[in-house]
Amino acid sequence: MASGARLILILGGLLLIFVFFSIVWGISIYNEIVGLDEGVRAAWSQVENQYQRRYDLIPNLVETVKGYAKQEREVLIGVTEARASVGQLKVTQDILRDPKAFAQFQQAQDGLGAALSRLLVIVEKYPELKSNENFRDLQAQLEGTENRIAVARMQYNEKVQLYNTRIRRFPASIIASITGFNEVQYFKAAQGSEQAPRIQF
Amino acid sequence: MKVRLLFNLILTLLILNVLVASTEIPKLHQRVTDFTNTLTYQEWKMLEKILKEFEDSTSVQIAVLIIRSLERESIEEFAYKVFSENKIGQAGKNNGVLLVIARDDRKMKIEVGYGLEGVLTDAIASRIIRNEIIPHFREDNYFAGLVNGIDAIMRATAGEYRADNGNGTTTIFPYFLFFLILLSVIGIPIMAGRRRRIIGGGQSVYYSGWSFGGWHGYLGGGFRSSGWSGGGGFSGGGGATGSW
Repeated sequence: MASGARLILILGGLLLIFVFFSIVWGISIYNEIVGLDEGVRAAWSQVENQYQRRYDLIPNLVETVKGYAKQEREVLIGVTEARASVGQLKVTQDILRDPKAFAQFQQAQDGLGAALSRLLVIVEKYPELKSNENFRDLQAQLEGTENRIAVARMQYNEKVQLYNTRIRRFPASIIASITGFNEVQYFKAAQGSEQAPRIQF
Repeated sequence: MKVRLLFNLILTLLILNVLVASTEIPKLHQRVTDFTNTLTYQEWKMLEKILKEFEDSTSVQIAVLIIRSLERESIEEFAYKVFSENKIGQAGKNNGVLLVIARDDRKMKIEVGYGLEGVLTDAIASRIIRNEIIPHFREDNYFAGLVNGIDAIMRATAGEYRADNGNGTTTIFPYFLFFLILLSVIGIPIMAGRRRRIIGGGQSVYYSGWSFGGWHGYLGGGFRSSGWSGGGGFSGGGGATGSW
């Protein structure tokens, strides 16, 4: 009788210790995942910033090109429309975990990148525009921004890789699924957008 | 004669070694790194001196890297990698600038650290390339292009660069010219003596010699012990590119 009670006590104690260490372990894993998730969020806001920067540059660029190359209506409208479709996107942190919304975001942004590189190609036909200092500044800003976008996307993908690997690997995956951390979307390399439009001058 | 042949062979191997190494992301141990032997020793030393003084007084790190040719990468990619690998600029301030020149591709990039993006904007970086550097590069005067460009970058980081009036370069250039004269007066006899003693050969061999010497720090001077390295800065890919 006494020995049975003692056994239960020992088992109960062991169980308590096990539960205690599981909780401690769970908390540390949780904190680690939170840290990685923060990294993803920070990298994502860089991506958004750079895309916003490009978005803000376009009206000025279009106006300047219009002044010299009015007849290029199609290309100019193409840029304006692509910009409008980017403007319609509803971008929140939620899209990071929504494959469809994320693909949509990337498609719209890549479309704008492609429209812009078409614009910079037609500019070649207008020497006066090409030698305009204001235009050259805008072009430099656009090129710089495209490059920043490429860098921000790369850094974002790196952070996502760290995060995704962590939450998918057993046994951390248990904690991740209990606390609702799920996979985040990557940027896929797309034609036209990875390559900053490069113009010789 | 035999000794000389052997020496030349070793020299060639060392140069080849450097060339191969330049296709990877180089670790910068000096502010000015020239894999192409485009700069003479005096020119290199002068640029180092200017950049060192500027870094000492402002903590802004400016580094120059001249390579022969890019492999498959774009200049933007390469410049970003070199910048982040070497962490140019002070930690926390991110106040680094890297000039990468791919001489035979006739392409260059000014890569700007996060902390300087506000003063050295893409547009200003592009103007510096267009108006200060490329006109000289077109005439194969790489040193003048670099001096002008670095001077403009230094003024831009102080918020003083106005590319549109374009007269700043003329006011500052005599200062560099003075240094050049000073250095050639002091430097050339020393170097000439050294050259005769060590190699006794042609100019090109000598220049190759100092280049790897400068890089690996074999050849003396005050810069060997400087052991320069980036201070921990980051770049987000800002800056501008140009070609000539």
